[in-house]
Amino acid sequence: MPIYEFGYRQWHGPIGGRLRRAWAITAVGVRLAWNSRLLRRMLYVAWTPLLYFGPLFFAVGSVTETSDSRNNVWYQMLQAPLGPQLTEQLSENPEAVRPAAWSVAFYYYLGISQSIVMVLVVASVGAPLIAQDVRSKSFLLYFSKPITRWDYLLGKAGVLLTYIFLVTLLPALALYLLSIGFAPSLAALPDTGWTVLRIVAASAVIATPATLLMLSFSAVGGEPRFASFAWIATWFLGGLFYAILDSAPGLHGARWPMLFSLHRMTTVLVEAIFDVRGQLAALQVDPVQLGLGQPQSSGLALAMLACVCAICLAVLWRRVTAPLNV
Amino acid sequence: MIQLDSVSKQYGRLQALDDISVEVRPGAVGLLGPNGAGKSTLIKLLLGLVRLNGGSASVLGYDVQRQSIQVRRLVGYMPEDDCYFAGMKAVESVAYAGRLAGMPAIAALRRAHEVLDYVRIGEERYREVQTFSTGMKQKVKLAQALIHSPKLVFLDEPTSGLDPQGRMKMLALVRNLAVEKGVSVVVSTHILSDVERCCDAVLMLGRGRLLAYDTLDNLRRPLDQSYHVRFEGQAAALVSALADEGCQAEELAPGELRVRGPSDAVSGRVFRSAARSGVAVRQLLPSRNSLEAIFLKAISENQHADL
Repeated sequence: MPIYEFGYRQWHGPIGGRLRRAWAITAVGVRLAWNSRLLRRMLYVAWTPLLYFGPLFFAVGSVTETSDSRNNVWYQMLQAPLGPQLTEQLSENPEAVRPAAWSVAFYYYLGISQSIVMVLVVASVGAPLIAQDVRSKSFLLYFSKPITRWDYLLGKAGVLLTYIFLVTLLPALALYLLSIGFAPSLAALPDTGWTVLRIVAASAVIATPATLLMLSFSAVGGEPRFASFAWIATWFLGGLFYAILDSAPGLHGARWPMLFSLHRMTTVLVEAIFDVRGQLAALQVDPVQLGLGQPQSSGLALAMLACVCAICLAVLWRRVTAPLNV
Repeated sequence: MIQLDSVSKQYGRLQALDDISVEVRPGAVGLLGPNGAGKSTLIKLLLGLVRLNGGSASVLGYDVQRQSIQVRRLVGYMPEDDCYFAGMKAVESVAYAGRLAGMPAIAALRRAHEVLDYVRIGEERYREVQTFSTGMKQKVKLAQALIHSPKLVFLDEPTSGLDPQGRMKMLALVRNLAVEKGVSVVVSTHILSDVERCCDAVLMLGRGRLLAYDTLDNLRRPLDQSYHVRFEGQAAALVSALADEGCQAEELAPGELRVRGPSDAVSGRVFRSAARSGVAVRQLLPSRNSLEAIFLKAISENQHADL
């Protein structure tokens, strides 16, 4: 037997299609990211807002059951997030007001709480995704296999989307099930049937621009720390700039300052998805009481986010195979 | 196996490949050329990773531009660069390469172990690749190229950075692949002895142009009738006697001559001259061109053609 005869033989098994190859990139990326203890701790922290929102939904159910008692502890608890008007209406007419109360609660949960937690998770998971491949020159290994740029990008995006959904979609769905469990009757199910779709849509709105922007930073820099810094700076400095402009005399309520803030544009869209203002208007509740501020154009926010996504895709498309063209 | 038809590739103003037409047959082929000759560009082009500026190319019957995915299903590639999947152990890394080729996860892991056995990576397979020596990394890259059982493998400078022992082992593996396993191999290198050791045919590139393509045997066959003579005694006396016999002698080293003469009976003339000049002939063999001589000649002709 020749000395090198150690098990090598031809392989004739089944070969999967493009989805399997993209899935391989996602699965391996998710597993590698999971090795980070910091990320695992972040994920635990990311679920802690449930400790507040879980009791909140329990309170909505309890007030409904004990609507005659305004001194009830749950009634008092709802005053802060829902405001006095909505809480009062909820205790008076629970069936009619419940969808609006849930929409407000989910808007706060996804649009405010989880979208901020998501920033840190994205910075941790997304920064090395492409930058690491640039540094280790593994593009040649990827693209010598039968995968396309789309497969590669889809696989890498899948890693980020998995972790973003782990801190947005999944806990929000868990919260929804919890809310149904806390509801006084099964009538809550048909009343809030659209909520599941709204949760999915809101999670997608939060996740899509975040994924594409983070991957672009990761592809451009070739250095994970740079990508993390750029992402966090874009998110927080944009928000700060928006806050400064919005509070400036003559600019308060203007439409264009939100274009600087990824977070603001996202919350405007989440607000529109849950139709928060529409439902509050129907109940004649003032949105300012709930800290919603001036209404913004969701169309403008959507258009701007679409532009950001398109630019990111163009950058990714160009950068991903750039190292091969030398 | 590989068909190139007037293939050209430019990077800006640099002509990386210039009007190359050749049909490469299966087997172990050395892609030979000095640095910057266009070897790596040609391989990337054949994998469909860079676009042609002119002409057409096909690998295993598939057009490299329009059917690059099909090409890469059937072809393996071992890059020259020090590249690896960060954060993965060797076995995970090879299995991952298999999954990227479309293999199911379990089959890819099983196959990764087989291929790592073949390239002789033992327990080290459970260490992260970035901690490996250059030789080990080269073996992992070879395993990654072989994981999906390709019909053709491109090896870009497979012995780069290896010590002599590692180089011998790598070349033995390459030779074994081509001879025992029936996998066609294209070895890109600028080291002539590597090609001589493991290849049957040579494709020579110089400044983006095709200089030669043929089997090693054909390339080494001398164009004229010459003999390599090893002797003991006075070289000057032997050279003079050979001249009297109508032969030209060229001293290659002390005690070694290359003798050219009329195509018939050169050997007889050598022995007669040796007897007359009092020199003892120790060895007399028909001369063969060395690959180095062929290579230098081809490059020189190419440069003269430019002037």
